[in-house]
Amino acid sequence: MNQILLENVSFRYPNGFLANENLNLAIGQDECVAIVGQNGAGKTTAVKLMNGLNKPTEGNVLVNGMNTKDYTTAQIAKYVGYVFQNPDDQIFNQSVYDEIAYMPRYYKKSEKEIKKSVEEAADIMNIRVFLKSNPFEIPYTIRKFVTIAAILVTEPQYMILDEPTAGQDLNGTKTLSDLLTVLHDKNIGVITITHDMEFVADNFKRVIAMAHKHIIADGSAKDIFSDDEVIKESKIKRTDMGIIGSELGLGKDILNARELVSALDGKIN
Amino acid sequence: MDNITFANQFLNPRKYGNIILDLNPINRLNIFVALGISTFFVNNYWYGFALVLLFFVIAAVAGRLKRYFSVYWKVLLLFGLFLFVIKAAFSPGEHMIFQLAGIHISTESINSALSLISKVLSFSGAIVLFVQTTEWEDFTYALEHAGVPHVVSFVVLSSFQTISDLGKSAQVIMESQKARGIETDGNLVKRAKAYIPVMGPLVLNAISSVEEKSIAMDARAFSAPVAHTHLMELPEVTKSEKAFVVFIDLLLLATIIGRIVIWLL
Amino acid sequence: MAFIELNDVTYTYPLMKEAALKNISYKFEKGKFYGVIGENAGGKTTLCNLLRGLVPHFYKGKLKGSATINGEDIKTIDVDKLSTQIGYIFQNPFTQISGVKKSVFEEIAIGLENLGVEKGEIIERVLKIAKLVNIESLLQKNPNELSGGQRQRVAFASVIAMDTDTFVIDEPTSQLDPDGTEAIFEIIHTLKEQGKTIVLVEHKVDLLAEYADEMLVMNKGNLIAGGPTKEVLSDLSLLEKGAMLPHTVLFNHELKLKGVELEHVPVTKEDCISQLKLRMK
Repeated sequence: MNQILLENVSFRYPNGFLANENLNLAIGQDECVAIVGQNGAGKTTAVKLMNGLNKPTEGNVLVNGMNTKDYTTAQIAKYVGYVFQNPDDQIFNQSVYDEIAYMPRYYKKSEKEIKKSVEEAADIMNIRVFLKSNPFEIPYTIRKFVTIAAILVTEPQYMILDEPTAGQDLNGTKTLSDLLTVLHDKNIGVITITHDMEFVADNFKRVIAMAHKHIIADGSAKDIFSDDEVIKESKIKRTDMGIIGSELGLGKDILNARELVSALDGKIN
Repeated sequence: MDNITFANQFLNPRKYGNIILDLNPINRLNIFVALGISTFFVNNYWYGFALVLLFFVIAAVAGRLKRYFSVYWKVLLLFGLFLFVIKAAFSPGEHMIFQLAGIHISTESINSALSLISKVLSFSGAIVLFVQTTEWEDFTYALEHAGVPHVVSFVVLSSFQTISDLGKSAQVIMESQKARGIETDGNLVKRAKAYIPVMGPLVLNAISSVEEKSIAMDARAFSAPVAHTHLMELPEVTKSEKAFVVFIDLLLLATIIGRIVIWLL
Repeated sequence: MAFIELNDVTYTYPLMKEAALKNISYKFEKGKFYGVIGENAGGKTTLCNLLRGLVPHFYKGKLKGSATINGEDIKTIDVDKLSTQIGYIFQNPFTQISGVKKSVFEEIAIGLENLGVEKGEIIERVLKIAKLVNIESLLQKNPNELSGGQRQRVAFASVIAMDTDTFVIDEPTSQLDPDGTEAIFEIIHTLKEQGKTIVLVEHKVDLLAEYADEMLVMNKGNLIAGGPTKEVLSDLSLLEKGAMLPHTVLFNHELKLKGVELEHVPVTKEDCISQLKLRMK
């Protein structure tokens, strides 16, 4: 079975700082996983282990059975695409089209194929109108979508998104949530770091909570959000609907408005 | 160290407890550059080489020998060796030592090569030494103290900081390009191919951050119409330090005048 | 007279065809907390730039209509003086750090040095702010080595430390975890309690709903709604214009579809909970 496997993985930066300790995790290609937790919990370091940017100082990371220690990051990148937090660390082409087309060209695809895949990716991210624009003249949050599209066209088997929701507006968040559906249909596994709890509750079946270099919980959104201890330790919050539900004594596992409404059914006049 | 102790450090002028490091940065620059320039007016390559040695000693006294050497060896290799070989091999001369094809090494060419590199090495040594013994913020503080406008000193400081940050940004960008599948390690062709994807964002970020940085500084009341204060200060320059700098400058002046006199006679 | 008064303001950035702000009129009172929401590229940041005098003094371009701060025309106002009156925290945490200081402590002190505050007082104020923003553990660290979220808090602290009467704050929590986000909102609330005027751009409308006195909604350069928070956020039609609304408002809508009508549209959790409690059997 295709999966990303972390076995007893620890990571220490060259300066001696221990960022991840004893992570154990298996993420299948058919999964869509959210990683949540406080700033500095080690989330970014952990996902960088999954595409070989960080090589474990202890334990092993296997991508479809390949040990990341035996491959360069660029080789792993064909399987695991990773979208950085800051799009400005990646973009360098003069037009959005060229930026997205860069990797297919690097892999020597035909221009016809390239055009097709660039346009498809642009449509998924709702940025077709920007294809001819200079990436540096479009808003920051759209630039982030450009970098997602630039990874989409490489057709990886897994995609890692590092805080894609930061600064997004209503439509941007909607685009991201549509993206997750598309990726699932394409059988691309997804790992997303985010601080947006509503986004997590709405879009992810599996949620991993991190705190203090460790994975402290791994389960369904309901499991995570109904556990007071996990919430406290990983400094996350229930969704607003969840907070209202638990305040009213309707249970701790309510995630969204629809669930709150049905929990109230018959209890309200 | 707790935060209170850390904060209270700022109450006193910054002291390194080292005779070289505690020189006022402008005075230090003055002394080193004066020494560096003097080599152009002394017609003996042993003088230049002696300076090169002296700078090593100064670096050692300052406790910065490692930092100094980590930069200076490149100068030694690039300017020292390279210039020496070129100059020695191609300068004209009568007392031939070795001759092959276009290469002719003579006592004269070796002498002129030594003379050239002694000057280049000692002058660049002076500059490298200054850079390696000086914190930029100390230097800009001293500049401001000497009456240089706030804006100028900030631009100087900010430019040097940007340059020293470039390495770090390049690292992040390199990672981001690797992550999308671009090979950055391996043979020369692969590295060359990775050049644009890394340099592009690096340059573009540097440019765009200038605009945002100036807004950021404006948000910190950078040009507020009041007299600025300084959290970190340097000690007042002592009389003996002043005297020493004047002494060095006079020596330089004497050397230059001496040189002109010899040349006129 | 209002503290800041915008009268039919239209502004176009240099080299741009379309105006970034179109016919904006609004009055900002002293001591109130204003939330600004709306879709990206809708003019929120440009509005901040205007309130801070960066438009039209830093970004040139064309400014039509009248804008006054404390009765002074923004076109002729002394921006250097303005920087001592209005604190501005902007979006990008990476460029907000000066980059020239070796410790967060010194970074926070920059604004105070520029205001000519005496050394002893600088030290006192930096320590106080660090405690307030909960970054005491960062004080001795190099600002250039911090993560996005940490930088965002340092930038926030650096401007808050200057203690201006008014703060214009553009998305200060985009990189922060939920806990850190709430902490920032609480600090902003404290500032308001101290009598400061606040203009805050945020996507986290649920939190804005709890704290802001008035809301402004921007869309494609237009101010499409503005007024008391409850009123503005009760308007479901804003969703179609790309504005996020509190989840309680969406919940209320779902509830209505089931035939249950609350007394009024709840825009905050507290309001929602207390209304539901009254109605529950």
